[in-house]
Amino acid sequence: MIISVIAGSAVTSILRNKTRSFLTTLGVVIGVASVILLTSIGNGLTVFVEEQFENLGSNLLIVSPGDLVNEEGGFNQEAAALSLSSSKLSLSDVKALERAGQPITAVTPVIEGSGEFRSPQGKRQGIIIASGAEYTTMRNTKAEKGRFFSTGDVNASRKSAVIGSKIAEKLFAGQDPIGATITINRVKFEIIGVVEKKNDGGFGGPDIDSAIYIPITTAKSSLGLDKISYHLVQVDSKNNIPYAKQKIEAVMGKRLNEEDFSVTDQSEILKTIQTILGTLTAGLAGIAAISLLVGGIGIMNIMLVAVSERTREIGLRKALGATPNNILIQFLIESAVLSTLGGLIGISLGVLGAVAIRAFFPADPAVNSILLAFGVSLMTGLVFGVFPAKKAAKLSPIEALRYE
Amino acid sequence: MSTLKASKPRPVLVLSHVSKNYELDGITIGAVNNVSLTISEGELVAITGPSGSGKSTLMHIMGLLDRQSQGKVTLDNKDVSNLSEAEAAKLRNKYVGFIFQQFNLLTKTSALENVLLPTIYSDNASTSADKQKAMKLLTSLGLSDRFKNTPGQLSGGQQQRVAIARALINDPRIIFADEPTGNLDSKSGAEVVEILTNLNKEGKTIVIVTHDPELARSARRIIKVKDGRVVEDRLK
Repeated sequence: MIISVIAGSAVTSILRNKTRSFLTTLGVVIGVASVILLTSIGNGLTVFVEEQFENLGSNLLIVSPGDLVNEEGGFNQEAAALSLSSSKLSLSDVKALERAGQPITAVTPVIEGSGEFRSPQGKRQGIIIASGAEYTTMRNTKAEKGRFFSTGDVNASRKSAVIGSKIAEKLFAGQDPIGATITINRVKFEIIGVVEKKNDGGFGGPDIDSAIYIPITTAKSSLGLDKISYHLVQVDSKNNIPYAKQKIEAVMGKRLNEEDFSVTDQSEILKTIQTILGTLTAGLAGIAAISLLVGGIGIMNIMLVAVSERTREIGLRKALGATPNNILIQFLIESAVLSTLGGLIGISLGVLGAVAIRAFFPADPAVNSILLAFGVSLMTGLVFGVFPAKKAAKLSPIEALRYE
Repeated sequence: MSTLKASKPRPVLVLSHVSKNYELDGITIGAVNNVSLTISEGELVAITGPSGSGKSTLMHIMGLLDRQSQGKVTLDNKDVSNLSEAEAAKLRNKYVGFIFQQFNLLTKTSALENVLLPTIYSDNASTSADKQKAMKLLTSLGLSDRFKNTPGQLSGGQQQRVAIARALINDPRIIFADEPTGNLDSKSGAEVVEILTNLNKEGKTIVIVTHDPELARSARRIIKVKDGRVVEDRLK
């Protein structure tokens, strides 16, 4: 028996009933398309979050005020909100942490606040990020034009500001902002640099391109921002993060009560988010897979119809020398072709959908989920085709030829 | 071939003491009762009898479509009494050709592809050679311009000729024709009878099953079946 001839006749018989074949595959089409779309979204979100974390800078530990971890080991929301306003972190922590030495390579305090920025062209709301000069390297925040403020600027509490790209665009359109004056909460600052575009914050996070960076000393003396939001601590290598964490906890534990600070590791947070997103994606894909099951039942149903419609044909083929296995394979190929066709259409629709929503939502169709969807649709056809195909194979040629 | 026949005809199909019983609501019904007969190479045999006489069941057993309840069937000196379904299918494909009353062509499939249908179940199929052969057969049956036509585009007589070509494609040892003229007008029917008798003259062994005495007369040997028994077996 020539398999290719059988496969060809399967395709022909599918094309013979175009409408019916299309409606039958619709279940598989919808199932596969939604699996692809949902895994693309899950995948896109994971990639997005990973990129966000990369933007934050690498090998960083964050010392935050208050006890962020509650007794059950989860995130302590109430304490976190409360602790920001009653932060007991101080500038002298920085010296103490720096003195701890290896593996800690740099420490900077950060105050985050909101502010109103004015220029002759207008005003705008944004985030004020006040820190030491080390911030630029630790957070990977480079000045595209001009320069970031230096340790000298910090020590002298200079009113120097490095502005986000969006502020340069909106408040200093058509001019070079370097050297110009910007008013932050009614205090005049000289612009010394513009930060390169980071292009994030479009999805829930803070709009980092609308931030202004100033020396922490100036924020304290001129803007009255005196509660330190957190300290950033850089560690020499990823492997030393747990050791550094212990060391920081020891240093800070001598200075503050245990409940007044906490040390968090970015990679831990990233891992948690990745786990959550992974579970979410799997769950969504699982729900979508139910429609694949329904699609499979649809295929089984139509194959049963095809077997009884074509009883005479089966009888004839058997009379002419088709073995039960030949008939079994013919109908299995037919249902597999039907479901695979549905799978291919579904994959195309899913990928198109993912590309379409990418404009406003992170979605990234993964190759392995496409391959998986293809395999699953092929399997659906084979599994749900077995029962009708066995029925066809078992028909007696005489009975089948007599069938009207 | 005629000299061979004259000396000693070789048996193609031998049935000895073959019976077929059906169970129906606990009652055993004998469709074929203790039939013994031999079909020899080059014969043209008509099996006749009224409907319900068991002639179709007999043909099914002879054509390996059905299995006897008792007795022995020998095809080409091979015992084929106890074959599996798959083994029977392989032997049908190689040794047996069927022509049916309803033609039984695949609709929406061209005449040529219909003729080629048995070849896809053959062990060593060579498609291009088969195709040449199918075209030759169709041409010899006067259908040289009908290769691409589907059964719906052919007359009944033409459809039956396609079916005859299909029965011949694998060079069978024996051809069974079940009421081959039953669905045809008298002119097409006569043409089909002529084709069958000509094929027999070329040496083909043919068994025609019919209740039509007119058709039976075209055969040299007539086997009459009644109530599952052979009641008459005579040479003309």
